[in-house]
Amino acid sequence: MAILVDKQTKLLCQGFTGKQATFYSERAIALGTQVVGGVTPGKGGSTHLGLPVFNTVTEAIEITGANATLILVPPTFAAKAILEAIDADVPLIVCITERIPILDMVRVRSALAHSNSRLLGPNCPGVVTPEQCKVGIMPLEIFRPGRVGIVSRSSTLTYEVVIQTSKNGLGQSTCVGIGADPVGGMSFVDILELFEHDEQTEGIVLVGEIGGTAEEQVAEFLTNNEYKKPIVSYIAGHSAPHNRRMGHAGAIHKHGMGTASVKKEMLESAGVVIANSPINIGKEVFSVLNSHTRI
Amino acid sequence: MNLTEHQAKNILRDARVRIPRGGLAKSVEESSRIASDLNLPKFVVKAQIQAGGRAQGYFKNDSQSRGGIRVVESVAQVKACAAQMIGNVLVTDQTGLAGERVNSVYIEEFVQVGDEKYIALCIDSDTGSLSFVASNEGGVGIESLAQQSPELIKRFPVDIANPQVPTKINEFLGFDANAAAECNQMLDTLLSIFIDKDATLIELNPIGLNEHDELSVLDAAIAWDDNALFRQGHEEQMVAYDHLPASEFKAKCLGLNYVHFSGNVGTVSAGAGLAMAVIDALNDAELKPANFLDIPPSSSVDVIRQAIELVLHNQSVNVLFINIIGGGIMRCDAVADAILVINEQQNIAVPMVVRLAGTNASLANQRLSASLPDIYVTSDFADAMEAVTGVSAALASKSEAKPHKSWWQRVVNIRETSST
Repeated sequence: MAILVDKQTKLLCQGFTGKQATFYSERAIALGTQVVGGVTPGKGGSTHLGLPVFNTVTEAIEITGANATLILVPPTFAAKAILEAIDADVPLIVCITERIPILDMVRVRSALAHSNSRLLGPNCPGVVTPEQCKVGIMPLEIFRPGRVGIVSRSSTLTYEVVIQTSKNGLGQSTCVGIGADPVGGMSFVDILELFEHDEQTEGIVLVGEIGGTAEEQVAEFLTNNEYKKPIVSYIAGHSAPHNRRMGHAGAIHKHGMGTASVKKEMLESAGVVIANSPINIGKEVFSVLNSHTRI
Repeated sequence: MNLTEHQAKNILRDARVRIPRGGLAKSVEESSRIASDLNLPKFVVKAQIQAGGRAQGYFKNDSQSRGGIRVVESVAQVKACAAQMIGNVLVTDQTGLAGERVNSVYIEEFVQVGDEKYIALCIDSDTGSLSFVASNEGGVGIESLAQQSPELIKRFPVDIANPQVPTKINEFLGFDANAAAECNQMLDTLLSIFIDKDATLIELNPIGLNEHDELSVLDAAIAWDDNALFRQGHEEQMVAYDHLPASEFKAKCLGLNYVHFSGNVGTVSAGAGLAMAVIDALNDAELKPANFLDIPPSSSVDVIRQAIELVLHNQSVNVLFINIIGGGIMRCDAVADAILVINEQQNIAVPMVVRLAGTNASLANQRLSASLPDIYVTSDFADAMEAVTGVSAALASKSEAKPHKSWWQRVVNIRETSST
């Protein structure tokens, strides 16, 4: 068991014939991910890495039966690629592209609301279920299959937690990067709900950071629901200097939220164990999981 | 990209939104010429920076702690204000304690409005939608109002698939028929500007009716989306980063995310999350970071080299801490190569702790250890922190600020002996 992706995942890659997509697809295939083909408009009918290339996502889905798509398209066309995947009803869309204009993502969010698709990202490293499936750009050599589910806004901190939980032998069930952009697809809460029903996941590490209200929403969710699994959280940026900002709209909108201390307090009172230092996340989750099993 | 008030008002004026008459002065002489041309009984002199909260801010080195927005009654007073403001640093709630240098002042007709209202258009990240935000109690107290009486601030979402001014916002603002029609047209204009030009914020505060019962915008803030520059090419792009310190400006040109601090531990990291975690860990260990640096993962060896050099260039740096996890297209061997290139060109005079993990980490660590045995190389964050803490403590107890490599070598040796 795992969440979002596993051995059954059949992956498509949008922007397939590009340099980056080629690099990641080769690695994913080498490590056992079922890549079934790709989409590059204008190159339909050709083959790349021994796999079929299609002009459109709809066509690619029909022929290959893919149930997930990885988007490695430059920011100028990335939102269009996501919208095409939503139109084609792809169940899981993972968008790695960073620097997509925010209004494009507002349009994507509006389309997602009326669809059956799930989106991870943009500006995220993707999702990995160790030894089963990788959709994205995470470095596979640091993963070990195991007990901890990881969800993070930051790519590099995902890797940090993976390294620490591999080192202490806990390993990972599935690691999910939800992306660092203010407007994106799946939220922390969406992922927590999936982890709750996954047998392999015994505990969760949630890596947040200053800014936005994603962590506050987690605290609210945990306060209003009886969540069955232990969660350890680290919030990056507790020592960041007073950020420069513009206008009042952010502050008005957020009612003083967004700082590391507010996020930590809210999460802690909702029952989350806070790792205060980035170098102790692995240790915290180790002790939490072991005491949890004893009870 | 945050525009100054002057840049924002130019955009509004071009779109036929009514604003008071005024002009921008970059020198005291210019301020006097503009004020004389305006020929008014009362002026407002406004310091131009890219942050808000100016009226309640203060200038560094100003014993009278006067703010960045002042009402005066003569050309001579305009000149005196300009002389005090231009070239000085204004600190506000939104600039952080470092403040922002004032390069120009905007001199404007003094206009009074009846009820001061607040109108903004922004992206609500909770719902991922475009939204108007409005209040009938605008002005300088809007943020405290948000804390104390959030019910007095209302949100009006806009459907991005069919963008229209929500009818309820006009009802809420409660203008009489003439002003309401004018307001509706203005809101429609704001919506067009926001969508056509890829804004992330348009904020009018305060806005209200002047003595002729016409709508007038007294202050405005606009921010463009940096990610949309490829399809906008805003002219303001060139000047928007003018105010940055030289090192931060250079970093911007290289595409690096760099913030200068006052400490002595230089940091180099890739990815904003890990870069922030490095700053957190240093502060937790009561060490003082000299900077925040996040190198984009797509950087070449050459950009990584320039990034490290930028940090080394800071004279306060006496320890360098590089913490990078290879992932995406960032490979650790590229980081190692950048360090080796620098070492060939110059003698790196500060002790260095290098933590590399992820893609090609063992290759990189081998390469570094083989060529530069006096660098502390590790694959573990906690271990690296111990080394940084150890060397910082040793440095603090030494009188000279910059130790020689041979000295650092001894520290490493001591560490190695004590750990075995």
